[in-house]
Amino acid sequence: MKRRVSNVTMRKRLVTVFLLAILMFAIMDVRLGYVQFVIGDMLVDQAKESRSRDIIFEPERGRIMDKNGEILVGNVSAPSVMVVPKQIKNPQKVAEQLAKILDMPVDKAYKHVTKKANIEEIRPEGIKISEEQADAISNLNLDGVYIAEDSKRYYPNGTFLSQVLGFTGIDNQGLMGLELYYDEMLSGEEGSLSFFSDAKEQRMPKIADVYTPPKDGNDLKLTIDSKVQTIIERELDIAVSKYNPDGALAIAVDPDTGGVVGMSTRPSFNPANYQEVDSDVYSRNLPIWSTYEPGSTFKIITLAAALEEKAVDLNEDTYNDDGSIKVEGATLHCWKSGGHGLQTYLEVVQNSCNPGFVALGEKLGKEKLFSYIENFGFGKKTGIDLQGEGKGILFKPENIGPVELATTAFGQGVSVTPIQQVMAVSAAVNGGYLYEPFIAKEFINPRTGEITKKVQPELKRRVISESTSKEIRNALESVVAKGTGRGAYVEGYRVGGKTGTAQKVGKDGSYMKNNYILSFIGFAPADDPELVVYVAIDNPKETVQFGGVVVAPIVGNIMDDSLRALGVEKRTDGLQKEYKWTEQPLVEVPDLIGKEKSDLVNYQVNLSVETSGSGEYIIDQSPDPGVKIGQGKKVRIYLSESKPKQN
Amino acid sequence: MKHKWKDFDFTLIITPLLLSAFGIVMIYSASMVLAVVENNPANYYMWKQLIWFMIGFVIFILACAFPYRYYQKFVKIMVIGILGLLAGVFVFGIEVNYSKSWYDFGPLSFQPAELAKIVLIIYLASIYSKKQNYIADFSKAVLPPLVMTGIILGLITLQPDIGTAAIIFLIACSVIFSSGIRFKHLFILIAIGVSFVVIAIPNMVTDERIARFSGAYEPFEDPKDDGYHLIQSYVAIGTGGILGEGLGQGVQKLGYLQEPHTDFIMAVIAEELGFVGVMIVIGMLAIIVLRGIYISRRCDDSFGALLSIGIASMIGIQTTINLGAISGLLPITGVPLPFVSYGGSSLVIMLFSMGVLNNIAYSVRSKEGSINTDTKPLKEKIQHIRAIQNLKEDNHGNIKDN
Repeated sequence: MKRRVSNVTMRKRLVTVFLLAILMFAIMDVRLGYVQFVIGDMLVDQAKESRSRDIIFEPERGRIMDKNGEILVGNVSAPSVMVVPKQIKNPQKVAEQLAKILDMPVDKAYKHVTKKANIEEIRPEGIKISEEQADAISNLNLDGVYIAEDSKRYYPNGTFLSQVLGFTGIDNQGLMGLELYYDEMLSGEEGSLSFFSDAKEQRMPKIADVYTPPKDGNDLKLTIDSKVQTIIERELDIAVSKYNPDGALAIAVDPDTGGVVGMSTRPSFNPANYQEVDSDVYSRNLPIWSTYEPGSTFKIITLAAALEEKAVDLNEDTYNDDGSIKVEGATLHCWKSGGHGLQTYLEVVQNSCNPGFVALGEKLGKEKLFSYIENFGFGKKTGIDLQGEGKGILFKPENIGPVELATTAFGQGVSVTPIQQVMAVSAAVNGGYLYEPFIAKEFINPRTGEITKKVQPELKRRVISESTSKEIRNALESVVAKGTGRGAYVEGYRVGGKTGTAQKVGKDGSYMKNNYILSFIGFAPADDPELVVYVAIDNPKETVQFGGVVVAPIVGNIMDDSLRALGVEKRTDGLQKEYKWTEQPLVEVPDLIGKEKSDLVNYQVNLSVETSGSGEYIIDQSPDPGVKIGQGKKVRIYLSESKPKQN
Repeated sequence: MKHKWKDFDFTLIITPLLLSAFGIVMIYSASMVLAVVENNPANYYMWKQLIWFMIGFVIFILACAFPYRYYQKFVKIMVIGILGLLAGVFVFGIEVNYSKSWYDFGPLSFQPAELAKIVLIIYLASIYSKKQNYIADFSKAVLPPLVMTGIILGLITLQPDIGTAAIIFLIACSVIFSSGIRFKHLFILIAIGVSFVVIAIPNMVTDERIARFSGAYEPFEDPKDDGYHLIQSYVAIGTGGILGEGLGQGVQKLGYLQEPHTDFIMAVIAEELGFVGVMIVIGMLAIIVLRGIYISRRCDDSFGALLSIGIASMIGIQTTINLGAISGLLPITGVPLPFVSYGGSSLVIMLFSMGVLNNIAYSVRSKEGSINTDTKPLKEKIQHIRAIQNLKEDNHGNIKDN
């Protein structure tokens, strides 16, 4: 009977085995399904990150050059140390030797050389070391210690174009500027030397190593002309040493394409040592980042709208400026006390007369003026291929009353970026075509020299007609030849332009006292503009200059040298600056007594200043207020520490 | 006994052959790049597997026809032979992947540990079926075969081939459990097994093995090294989705999966044929395993029953360890997927086992067929007579133990 009983036990057990087998297959199915569907995507992502394995060969990052192929950012060899811990025979000794050369603690080096890994980087001390360090290490002839070829960025021109170019981190990854914006195009693809190992983690000797060569990044050719950029950098350096401003910026653009020819910011930095400056310095590319009230340069937009809408005839219509204009009970003053008197509208433009522009704004009405402002691209990012662009602020349509309309007409109450102004003025002078600004022109395969990607100018829309544009060019040329922009005059290049003095809004929301951004926007030649240049100086200190003469000459210098460098021919038919003082309209000396020295920048007159005494307050002047003298003549002011008594 | 075609278990004939053929297709897809990298023709591994399949097919047919009871007669010779082969491998074998576990015969090489699995199954089935009558006696019935199992396990562990040793251990457990030994004895056995592991572990634990365990559970801790294989397997499975990338379209076999045609072939299947492909393969393996257990249950002859359960266990356990490894449930030990993975010794042994199982199935069916035509009391009568006979033979049976 025993046998039979046992057979029954066996059959019971077999049922158990059967159930176990079903359970096991079920578990496997569920697990594989779970891997495939639930955690699959996450695992694939995670694994792709970790796919960089074995010995990595870094690609060479694409170089950045100007439009003529001159290298702005190159690469230089910067070796890195790698160790293969399994091959190191005496880790303690190796760690000590490496620590000494790499200037790091021995215990940290020891951790690297004993790490359980196929290949280990000594990070960050052993990454991108100097040639001397690399030589010292290879001279030690240590088993398992390798010097890997790597490269780092090299900036042949130092602080040149720094905020635009940006910089890279320790792994050659773009961190700022163009390096970040075009990181993908510049960075290329890693190569590797893979050796096969089996599931038991041993190298398989029969299988050949697989070498995947790195793919170098694309070279990037910019619209920047390094000659123009050099001129801009030089002029800003001079301005900084002269005026010690809070900041300064300059942009030069080709108005026919929107291509940025030059762009600079002060304070500047050397991208090779970006850690040495405050992050505000390298992260703020002022020409596209800063937003402020534009001041009088904005009058060009009001002018363009009025001309396009045929709301005014510059030569026939007149305006009588008595020094202020009342709008809904608010009194808006002209910068010139007492006013400019009876003028044609051309003279209103030349004199940058605020009440005259208020009148133009009123002729247009809020709908029309603001639709032109929007059409010219204000209130929106321009779309330039750089990171950190500002948007600016316009009045909300429902908040625009007569006062807002009036102040907007002469450039107050709106907030704009320099690049917006440059693109808008480019459109105003190039026949009415508003372009999207761009700075990357071509991407080039460094091996073959083939162009992998070419950027075409992007026309956004047409905002005004050619005839309006021509009228604006002529009016602005006369501003430079005869009006407040005289400092920007360049013989033969027919420079047109407009000054601007913008008050800054402080933290409490009200205007800051004695703190201005002085700017000038210019273009040349006026018959067919090749270059639009904008320069702004933020809060020039120790100013003993009138506003019109601080920035306009900087733009004049930039224009003169740049157009020459670009090979633009001199014109003969432009408006002539009048050299005979007698034939020239005389300038009325403004009343300066009781003002502060820094207020001088607010006066749009072409006179030079000499000082006597010291202090902030002007207690006397010579000649007396109201006296008419020749353009460019001297006004002597007497300074004192204390305010003069009121008479 | 005259052969009747209807007595053949066609499911059990067709399924393994289909799986093997499918395996050859997948081996071609998985190994073509690897073969070219090694300066061989793209179909190098496929051809080798095809040759093995043809050898295996002949053996399969022979085993189908060969009455399984005769194996019992050759058990001693087989055990001595396998011990010799396992010992000889230390002298004459070649080292592959740091394990000395292969005999090299020119173009084809042979792994005695694979043969040891089926020999051990035959041995255990034979000895426990002979001792069925006094299976409750520990020292007499249970213990002696274990000594032999221990020797075989030891020889394989020394190669070292931990994966195969683990499989053999689990197969032995399954057969012993099914043989109906008392639970008390089963626990004693487990205790012995555990203490063996505890003693052996300090000698077996190497950094590499620890790493392989951590690699299985935290692959992303060290993605370049210990977790590497599992991560690549995850990527293959994860990219597959429901229908996969298409046959031959996988990329993980291009150097990312280190052994795409052997241990990780299921990952390639998952990538190229998706979850559907995986389900079909697992389904076919499940059919074989469950069918084997079913046959074991129907088999009146305890040798046949234990042999069936041993073969079914071997396939089931090997499948579990392989799939567990590629899906991150178990550490990676280098165990092939039955029928599908590249590897001649494994395929031939699997096909041989299937032949044996088919023969058992045939005998079960033909017997059941003849019984069905008979009357039921006769079956009981026969069993009764047999039981009495057995009692006579068994002088030492512990009758009290009931």
